[in-house]
Amino acid sequence: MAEMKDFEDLEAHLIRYQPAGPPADLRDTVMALASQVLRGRGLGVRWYAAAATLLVAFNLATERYICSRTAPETPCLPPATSMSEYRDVIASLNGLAGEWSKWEALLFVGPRAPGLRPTTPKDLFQEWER
Amino acid sequence: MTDDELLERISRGDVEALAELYDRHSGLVYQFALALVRSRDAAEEVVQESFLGLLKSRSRLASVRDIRSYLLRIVRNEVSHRRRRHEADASALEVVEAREGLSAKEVLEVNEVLARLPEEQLTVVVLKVWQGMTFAEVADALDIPANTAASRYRYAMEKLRQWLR
Repeated sequence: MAEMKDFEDLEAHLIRYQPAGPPADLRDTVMALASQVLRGRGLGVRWYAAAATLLVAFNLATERYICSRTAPETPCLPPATSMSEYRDVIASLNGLAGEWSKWEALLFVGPRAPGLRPTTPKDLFQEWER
Repeated sequence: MTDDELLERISRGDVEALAELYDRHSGLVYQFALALVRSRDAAEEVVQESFLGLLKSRSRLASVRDIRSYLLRIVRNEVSHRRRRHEADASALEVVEAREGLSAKEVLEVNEVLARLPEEQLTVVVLKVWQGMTFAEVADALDIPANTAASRYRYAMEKLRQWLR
């Protein structure tokens, strides 16, 4: 019993040092992230990354195929491919990638489209917006 | 509103209910995480990931009997993941922090003493002394027999009594 009494006294002493909870701003962070989790944003980001990877791989494979069938000595651009055809490809992925794929098209696909070079990224984006 | 009612709402994706649950139990989660990772920054990360983990696994909340035990299990899992990722815990314990009424010297001394306790004893002390949990509740949360929880508490308190003399 004496030992338990000692422990009670020690507990009372230790309680003085009990840490406060986490900082107040952590609550805001957690709730903001929770809202994203519920909207599926975390999953969405992974989908965007996967879609982008697939798209780049698709473009490279297509270009390589067309080059092999046409004129290897010329700059390796798909000669019969227009921006509108590229747009169709991108549009098929839009459900997954949304706005992101537009930028992916600008950065990776657009510069490969014939008839659009030389151009600035701004011109290309305006072309895409039409 | 009871914890069970909050869990039911969280299982339907209610963020307000999660906020209420956070307000009730983040102190417990934080202190327990502190005892395991021994640094405030790391403990905050564990708190964040634990509550998000609860939300991500919301489809399983219907079977939860005791939210405190459930949260502490999530914390233990999160800390295990951190350790597997080789995110080392702090070597110096930062459990107790300076505040009004506590001198820097006192804080340093108590942190040093708590740091000398093995993790399995420190976690029992945190849950029993700071959270007021019974040995049965501690045992349930840590997946150990109640007798083991009681003996770890006794060993820890005997050491602390000597060291704080």
